[in-house]
Amino acid sequence: MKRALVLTTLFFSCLMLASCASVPADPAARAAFEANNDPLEPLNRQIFTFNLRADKYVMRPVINGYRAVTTPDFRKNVRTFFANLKTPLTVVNDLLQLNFPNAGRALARFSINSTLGFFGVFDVADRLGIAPHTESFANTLGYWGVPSGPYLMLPLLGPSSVRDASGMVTDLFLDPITYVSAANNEDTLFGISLGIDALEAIAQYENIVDLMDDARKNSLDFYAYMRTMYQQHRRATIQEISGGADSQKASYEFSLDDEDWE
Amino acid sequence: MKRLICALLAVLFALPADAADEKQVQNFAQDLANQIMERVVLAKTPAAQKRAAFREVFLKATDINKIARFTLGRYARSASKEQLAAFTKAFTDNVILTWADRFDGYAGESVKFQSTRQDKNDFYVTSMLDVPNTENDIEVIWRINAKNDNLKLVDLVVEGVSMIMSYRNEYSSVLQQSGGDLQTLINLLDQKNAALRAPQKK
Repeated sequence: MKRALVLTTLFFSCLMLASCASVPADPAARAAFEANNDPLEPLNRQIFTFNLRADKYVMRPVINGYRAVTTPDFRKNVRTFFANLKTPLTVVNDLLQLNFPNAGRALARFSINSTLGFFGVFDVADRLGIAPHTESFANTLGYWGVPSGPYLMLPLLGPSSVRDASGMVTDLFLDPITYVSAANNEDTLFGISLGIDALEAIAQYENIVDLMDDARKNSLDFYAYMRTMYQQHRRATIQEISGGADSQKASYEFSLDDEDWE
Repeated sequence: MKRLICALLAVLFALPADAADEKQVQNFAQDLANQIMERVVLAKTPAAQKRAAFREVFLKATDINKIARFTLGRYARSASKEQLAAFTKAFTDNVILTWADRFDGYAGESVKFQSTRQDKNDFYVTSMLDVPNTENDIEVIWRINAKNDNLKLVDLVVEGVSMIMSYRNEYSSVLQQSGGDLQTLINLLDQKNAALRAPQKK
């Protein structure tokens, strides 16, 4: 198991090194290159193409089947159910971000929805005025000032960054649900956790698939469009949880005048 | 002392003026949202008519030349006047086709405005869109520029994502691939617009 992990990591490192984009010499082009924060663009684009194929031949039939046999209301309940399972993880990350009020809220939501909400199928807590929120270790890293690192396109999982991808892996270990539901056997532990994640991924993917279709239909360079959306959204999220939006300028408060960009 | 009084007076007069401005900007955003809701989202007219209505509302409310120029970034400077005009036209059509259909597909009932923030001549009006069958509301910030008492919408920020910055990044990528040739981008936009105009095959 460990050896396989090391070998896979090595393999991907070689692949990444081999497919690094060359840095442009022209200063303006170089500035644009650095702003994109995507030194692995050639590899990332290939993975993106692969993901689109996986979407077409695997995910889309699954989503279509799922939609054919369920109603929007039902699908919302499924998402609520999975969101509830992820709430303990949110509590952990709230605590790691020293956000105790939010940790309390998440904990209250988990207790209420797991019981009154029929194992999390209904969001009773929201109706009681405790609005949902999610936190991940990627956000926790951002909160503590870890920079995003280069943009990454993950196979099947989509847009990410070095920080966000490592946060995602750490979440597997941080998630209390993983430990509660599994026996001492390590493989079962990950099996259950990954199984939940896979089902959740389908439910989440179904939720955003229309947005993705819209983006694809309207964009000239779908890859570049997704990249900027992801990067901007993440920057804004981290800024918001860090409470920086009050003191410093928000990421979208840039100047429209050309001269200010030099 | 005299200077202090002057400064105090300046502050006293400046504050109410700003407050009035904020109200004005909020009204502008509310009015714009109302018009879009009425004429595009809730209107029971064919798609072509909705697009025409949206074009009218949108062009009146925005500074499209400024936005178009911004989306080109550094490439705007080396472009000829004709190219810039051709791009602005293609870009305008693209934005209208995209957003008229996006608003048309918006199944929510209303736009709820919340707060307004000011940064020099720019105002950021926060609103929430309630989309049915989703757990979370969507935050949309309307960036409104107030230069010379003339209010113009210059950006929409959806969940932290600036629309004009997204266009700029995407076009920069397209232009980089074409070696900075603006005509390639214009052609791509024209093709896209033709595809978007065509009735959808299902």
